[in-house]
Amino acid sequence: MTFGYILSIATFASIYAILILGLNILTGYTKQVSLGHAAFFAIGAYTQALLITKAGLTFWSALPLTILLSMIIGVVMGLPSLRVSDDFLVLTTIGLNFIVMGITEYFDFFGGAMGIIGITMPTIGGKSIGTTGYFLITLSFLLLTICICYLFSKTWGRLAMEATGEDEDAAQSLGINTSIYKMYAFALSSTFTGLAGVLWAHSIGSVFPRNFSFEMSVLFLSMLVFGGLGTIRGAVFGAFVLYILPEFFRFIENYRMLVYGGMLAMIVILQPNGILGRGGLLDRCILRLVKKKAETQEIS
Amino acid sequence: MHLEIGEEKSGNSGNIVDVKILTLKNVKKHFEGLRAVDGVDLTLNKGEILGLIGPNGAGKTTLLNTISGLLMPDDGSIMFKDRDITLLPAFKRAKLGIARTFQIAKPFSLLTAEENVLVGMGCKLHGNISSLFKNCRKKEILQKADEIINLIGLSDSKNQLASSLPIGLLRKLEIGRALATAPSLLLLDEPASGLNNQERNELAELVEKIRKLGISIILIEHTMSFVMNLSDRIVVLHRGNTIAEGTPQEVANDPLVIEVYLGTKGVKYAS
Ligand SMILES: Nc1ncnc2c1ncn2[C@@H]1O[C@H](COP(=O)(O)OP(=O)(O)OP(=O)(O)O)[C@@H](O)[C@H]1O
Ligand SMILES: [Mg+2]
Repeated sequence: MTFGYILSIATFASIYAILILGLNILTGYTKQVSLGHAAFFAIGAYTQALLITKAGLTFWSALPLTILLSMIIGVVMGLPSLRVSDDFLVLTTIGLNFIVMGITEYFDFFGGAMGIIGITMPTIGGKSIGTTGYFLITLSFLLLTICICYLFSKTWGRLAMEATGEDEDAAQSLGINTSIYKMYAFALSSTFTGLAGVLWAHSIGSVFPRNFSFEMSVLFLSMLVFGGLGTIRGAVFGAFVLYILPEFFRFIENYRMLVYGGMLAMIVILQPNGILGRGGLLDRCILRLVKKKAETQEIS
Repeated sequence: MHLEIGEEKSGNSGNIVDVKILTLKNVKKHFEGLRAVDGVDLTLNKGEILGLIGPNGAGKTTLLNTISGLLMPDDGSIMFKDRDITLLPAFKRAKLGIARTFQIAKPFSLLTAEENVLVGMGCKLHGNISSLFKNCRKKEILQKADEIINLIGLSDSKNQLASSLPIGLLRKLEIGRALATAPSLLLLDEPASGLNNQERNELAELVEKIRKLGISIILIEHTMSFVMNLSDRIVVLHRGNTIAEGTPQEVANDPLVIEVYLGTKGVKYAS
């Protein structure tokens, strides 16, 4: 295993962690389940790709535009969520995924099935930064995202989103306009997911419709649910573990959908709070240990 | 919010002011032909505790829902502090000062008890884009939350997830969360259901304390001793209509009420 290989795995794992932190705001906080998050990922990646290859912008000048557009599209795509029930929202997001894939595949403007190539690496001071440099940039963005998510977890906004996700009637009775918070969640979520798309496009250098398939959306949701809904640690953990494991156990690759789908179902049934979620596996293990300790102290 | 805990005012009903805080006129709510609430008139004075009783399915919860705004009435009007709120959505009514609890407790189970209270404290802030990113864990905010947590007697479990709390504490938490919105009207839907005797007594004390804060209360309850002892006035609902109204004494002696609801239960409170 070469250094370059490890570096690339670390880069992609960090990108996915950013994406899952974004998904966590939507699905972890407001409990709006998205099985189409690859659409937002695609929107970030394609916007950046077009701005670089067609408009001739650089990584740094295109980035804020892409982020802004991701946020706006998040709001627009969040609109249907105000009209449909939770179950239908899942279908809506799946539909969204197929629509975005379809558009990128059938319109030449988006490169069609041939995709868009030639998305160059960012430069700093006129010099290309190489894979190590790019890993550091990605890592910095991950740390920034974690910081923002951490600060956000202490805000009125997160409380209102979680309240909305848990019980809309109760939330409304405490002054929360639940529709608005569902929209806010879509906007924030698609912003981070768009950022992940940007980073991903540059690290691969090209984008193709098949990179943003429904399969990817299933993978994303599995990552979040595995790690634990509603926590930063769970989102990062889930992204890293589920991205890195198949890299080392290549045989999984062929049964990916089976493994992820099966795992998603198992976790939802056996560990609904995930491995690192609140009240999840780790929390309960710690609780049990603390109790045992207290008991043994009482006895002695 | 102004929570003066421990501020004692005299007498059981000494601080009822003859100012109408809530007026319902001919409120109706039908569910596909079922007349759940069928033309109810109701007034509530400031500082009053109004008991709302009646058999299962009488329409008590439905009426409460039309007051809190989770259901819009099909007909009639609702005035709250001289303001017509008939068509106002629930979250706006909460901001105006109407708070409630639920018959089946609806805690935010993945939030801690403290965070549940904080959600209530943010009542007037929620929705402003500026408060979206504002820190809700500043010292003075947490101190105020602590006051409420102490009032409801949940200090020992404030950092526990609501999902791990027993029903007795959940009922108190729901009241605390509602109080945190700094309401002037509190709607309690069977707050004592599922509680044992001791818990029920503690709850009664809590309701007394809340009254002393000057908050008006509508209390739905099936436990007769509880509601009869706390209420200043009782309204009896039956098939969506008010069939009796008066002091607990009067209502307990009302032949019609005894027939449709109290049965022999009423005898205990008649004397
Ligand atoms: N959302 C709804 N859709 C249809 N029917 C409803 C709905 N909510 C309540 N009802 C019906 O309206 C009637 C009044 O119900 P409500 O819950 O208000 O009674 P209640 O007095 O609170 O009874 P309980 O003491 O059992 O809580 C019942 O027959 C109930 O089945
Ligand atoms: Mg009821």
